[in-house]
Amino acid sequence: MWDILILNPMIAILMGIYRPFASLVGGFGIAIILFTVIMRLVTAPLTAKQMKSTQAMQEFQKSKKWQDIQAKYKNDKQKLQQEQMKLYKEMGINPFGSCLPLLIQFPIIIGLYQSIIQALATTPIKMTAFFHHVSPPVLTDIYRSIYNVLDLGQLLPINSTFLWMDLTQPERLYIMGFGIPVMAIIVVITTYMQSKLMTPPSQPGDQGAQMSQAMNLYMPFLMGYFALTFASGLALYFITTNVVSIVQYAMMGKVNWRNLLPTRKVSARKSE
Amino acid sequence: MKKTLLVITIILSIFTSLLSACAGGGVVNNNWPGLLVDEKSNTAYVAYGQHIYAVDMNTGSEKWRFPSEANKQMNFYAAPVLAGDGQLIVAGFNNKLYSLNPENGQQNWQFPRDENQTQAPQNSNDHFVASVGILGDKIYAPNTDNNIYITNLRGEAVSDPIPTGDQIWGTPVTDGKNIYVASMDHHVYAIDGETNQQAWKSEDLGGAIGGTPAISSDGILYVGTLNSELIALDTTDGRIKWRQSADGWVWNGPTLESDSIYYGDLWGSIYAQKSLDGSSLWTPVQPDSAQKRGITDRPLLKNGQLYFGSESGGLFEVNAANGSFRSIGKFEGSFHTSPQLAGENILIAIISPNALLLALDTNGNQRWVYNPRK
Repeated sequence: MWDILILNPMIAILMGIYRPFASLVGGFGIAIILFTVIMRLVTAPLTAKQMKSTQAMQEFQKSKKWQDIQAKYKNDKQKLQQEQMKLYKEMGINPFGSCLPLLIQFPIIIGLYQSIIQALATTPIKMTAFFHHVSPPVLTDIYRSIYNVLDLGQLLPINSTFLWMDLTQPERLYIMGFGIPVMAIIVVITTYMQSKLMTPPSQPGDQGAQMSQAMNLYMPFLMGYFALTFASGLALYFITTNVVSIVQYAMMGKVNWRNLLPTRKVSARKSE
Repeated sequence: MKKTLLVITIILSIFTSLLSACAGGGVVNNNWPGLLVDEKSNTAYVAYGQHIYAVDMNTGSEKWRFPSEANKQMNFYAAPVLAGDGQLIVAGFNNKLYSLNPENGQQNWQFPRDENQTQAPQNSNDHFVASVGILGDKIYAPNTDNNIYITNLRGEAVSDPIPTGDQIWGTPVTDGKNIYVASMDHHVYAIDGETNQQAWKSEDLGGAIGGTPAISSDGILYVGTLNSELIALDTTDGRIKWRQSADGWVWNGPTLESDSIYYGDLWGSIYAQKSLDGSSLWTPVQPDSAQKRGITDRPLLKNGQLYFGSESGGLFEVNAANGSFRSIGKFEGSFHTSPQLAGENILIAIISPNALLLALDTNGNQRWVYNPRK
């Protein structure tokens, strides 16, 4: 089902984007970037909705009414929950409003880089697995027509060179004998920037904010680790998606540039 | 705070495992097993994962394995090849060639001997995916760095590598005069066995060539392509004699029998054609109904019957005269390598948690199973 609904169509789109660039060195790198941008644009309404819901939730958290209710029912959790739901209704907030668009986007994100990895088949067994995505047992004729138009025979194998990278291999830029993981470093920086820029201002003692801060710290290193150890095609995807997200949020006016500044200095000045 | 940390740990764990699974991290099979049957020594040699296994064909017991202890730096998938002087040449996925004593698995030499050796693969990210070809006293080893490396039988480079335009996944074949190598760059290359120079290069065949060609005694080279075609080339100049479309990608060249050829494709269809012009002997059949039923290797022909293993783990017998077929077994796992004859038994390598090598009779009854101890 996953292949039918997500992976096979995505691979067809990716190959379609790659087609005009196939004769260029670095064509697949360009295709990955365009593919990521297009998928982010397609899911832009969901992103906007998610952002709106998150903002509404923050306003809810800050509202005097909710704080009063919390104080009133701090010893009766059941009642607190009932009142919370009532207030949600009153303020027209869907408590799952921020999760749902994210959940819908998640399979798209997974499918996106699965399709990149599948297309960059590096051994016979992976290439034969790829065959089943371009010639699936469901909607076979449609896919055959698509790949006839794309002239798949001429597209394969995909030229995996992009700039100094082989997109099928973990990336290192060798300078004077030292292999520098440039892409992994950029992934760490852009992931950090993305998470910091999109973190809204928090209330002191807010548990959700604590969690966000911890995630902001761990996530860049986790993504950096993936970029360091897996095919650089994935790193290219990570960087593109981070940059596109920042641009998207900036265009919505939601980016909090101040978050990039070190917070300790601010609090130190305050304490002075 | 403890609760926060717990939630973060859970989220990150799920995310990590999802990304790892999708990115193909962790332990994965890099390719399917390679099998060589040597009736003379009654031994089957199987290359798979971290070892080469020598298996007694009477009993299915292990004679030796190379290396004796698993080494993460060494991987093998290409079928070993016996050289004329009796040594066993193994192409390693770890970008090295090994010569072994087929009696006991002791290593004679390796190529390259050290990192500084010239005329040898330089990039550790590349692999020897295919087996080597041997012509006279020379070894032709195709690599994923697009080159064909040429050594003598002592593993010493004897000339500069021959470049092609892309990776090479298929084993070179020979007619005793030239070596023929199919590349993923859509071309077939003929290399003169005496001069080690390129004799000819075919035109663009319209699709990458992932597997090994087949060569007939009357000078025709049969090549399957990822453009779903089987193409017959003249070995004298590489000219196309004929080409026939298939339902799916054709991975390896066909099995040859007098003036007929037999092969399968990744769509699971089986073809019988005249070698002269590629015209059909009978309508293609599709014995396997599974969704992933690809046939990657050529069939075994025995007593007028063709034996095919499919990706779904199905084993089929097809009558070479008329295409009638029957299933002779369904196994947990997948077949990618050609079944081979060992006396009265059929040997076939399988990717399965329960077995690596199966010995069956022609009705699919199991004679023995070899599953290497961990």
